[in-house]
Amino acid sequence: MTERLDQKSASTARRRSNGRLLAVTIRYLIFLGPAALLYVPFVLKPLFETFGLSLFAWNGVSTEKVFVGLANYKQALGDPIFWISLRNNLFWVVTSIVLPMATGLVIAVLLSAIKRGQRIYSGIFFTPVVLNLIIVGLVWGIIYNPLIGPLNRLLRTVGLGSLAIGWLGDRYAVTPAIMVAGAWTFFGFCAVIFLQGLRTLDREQIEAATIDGAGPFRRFRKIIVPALSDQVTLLVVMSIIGSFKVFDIVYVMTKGGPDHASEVIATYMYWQSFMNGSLGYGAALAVMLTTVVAGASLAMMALRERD
Amino acid sequence: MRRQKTRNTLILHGVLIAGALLTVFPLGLIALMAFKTNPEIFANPLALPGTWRWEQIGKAWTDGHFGPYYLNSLQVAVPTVLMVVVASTLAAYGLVFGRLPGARYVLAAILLGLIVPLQAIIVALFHDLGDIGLLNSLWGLSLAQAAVGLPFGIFMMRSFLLGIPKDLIEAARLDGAGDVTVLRRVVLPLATAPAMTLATLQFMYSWNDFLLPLIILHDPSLRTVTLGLFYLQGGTYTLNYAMISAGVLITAVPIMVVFFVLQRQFIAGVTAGAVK
Repeated sequence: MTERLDQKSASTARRRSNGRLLAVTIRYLIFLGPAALLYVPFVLKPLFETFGLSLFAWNGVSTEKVFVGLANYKQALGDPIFWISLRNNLFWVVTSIVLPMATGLVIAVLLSAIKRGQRIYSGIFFTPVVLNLIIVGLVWGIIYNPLIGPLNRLLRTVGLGSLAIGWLGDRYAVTPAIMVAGAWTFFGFCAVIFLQGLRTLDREQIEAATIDGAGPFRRFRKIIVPALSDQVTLLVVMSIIGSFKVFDIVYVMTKGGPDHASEVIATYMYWQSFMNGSLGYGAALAVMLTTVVAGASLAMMALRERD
Repeated sequence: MRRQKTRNTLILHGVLIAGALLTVFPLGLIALMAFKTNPEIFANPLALPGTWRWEQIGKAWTDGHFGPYYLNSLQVAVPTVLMVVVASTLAAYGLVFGRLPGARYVLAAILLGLIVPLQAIIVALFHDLGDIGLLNSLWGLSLAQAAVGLPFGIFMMRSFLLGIPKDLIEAARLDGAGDVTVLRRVVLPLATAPAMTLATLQFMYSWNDFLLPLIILHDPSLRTVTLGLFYLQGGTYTLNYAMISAGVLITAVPIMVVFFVLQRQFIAGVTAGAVK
């Protein structure tokens, strides 16, 4: 009798747990199904394929892929253009930390000191942030143009005609020239982030320091800069990530030229994969890029969690 | 004291106005060039046009096929935004309130998509889309953009949903509401604002996207506005700076108008995308 009862309750329990399993499955399908339909085939699958592809030699057309192990990674180490690209990426990191952040900080401090017009000024400084990089690249391509560019005309007018060069055709000037255009699209963003930080700043602390005779520079160094450390960290990490991902602006302005002088990892990877028919090597470059960007992104998230 | 304050304010505004002018100078310059002839541009790029040639804008619009390109861009951006907002909201609800065992592993898989740069997957994505006949198709582009935008959308909606008190959800459940009812009656009314921010951001990403259209759309008639502008230089017009400038104007002005109308949401959205 008891045995039969046990059996009965066990089967109810089994049925109940089957029911629960079914309910969980249905909830999974309803809530995560649509996301999975997009994410699995168009992000996860290609991501794993890229890791696999980096171990093969493949021209993208032939049906045969040859397993080469880590040879593609070794090839990068001995490839001078890979090193040029990496050096340019690191150069982007440094410049995009210094130029737009410094400009943005100055603008934010000025904006925080005025009462009226903050919104209009922020709107103007933020405009380049919302424009796409093709627009930005074409605009600055014209500014730097050796024939019609206003930059060279300005230089000649002020008697610095010897500096008037073909900015995007010169292997030394090209990368800094693109970076200035890049900074134009980021400083307004930095200014807005800094301005948000300054809003939380203690007005009384500044006034007390002023009464104590601290000049504007001392107030800036002792009160304002320390108060913005969170914003600085955020923007530095964003600059690092953005500097390694940079592609559009370089591609539209120079396609990585002249003679690979302005190449960055992303444009070089694109060139190797789609123009040079070295998909395996391109994939190896992609994996290295991913490692750096993913590392920096995780660091950023860890920093946010800490707050 | 007061006079000194007024003077300081004037100096501040002076510096800010100078900075603002310097910021818009490149755009203003291009706007002028769009109305000038090429000989005028070569003679002096900075001068005002002799006559304002409005017909050049119309010519660039027609020659650059911007009419169809605007329609293409809309045809890509609208479904992308809808897919991202709907799929992100559902997924975020499932992860936060869905009582799903193993949700953290799902979250980790989505995090992967958030930290991987798009460039890293385009080669494989290009071949995968080709295998299922989605290359050279606006739908293929829409699906790819939505998939790439999804991780950010899920994390953004999730961080919002985490702020909704659990008690609110539990109370609704005790009243006998199922998941669908809870989502529709309790969560969605609260989530309108973040969903709108997500929609605005995703629309901007989709509209400005260059890399995915570049690899997916080969047929010139399928180009988006951004891709069409890219091919204007060196393609439709080489060394025709007046027409390139007109093309820049045609593509930049609508973005700027939308931005100035929705400035508050835009700035809030873009900075929240970074901070949250």
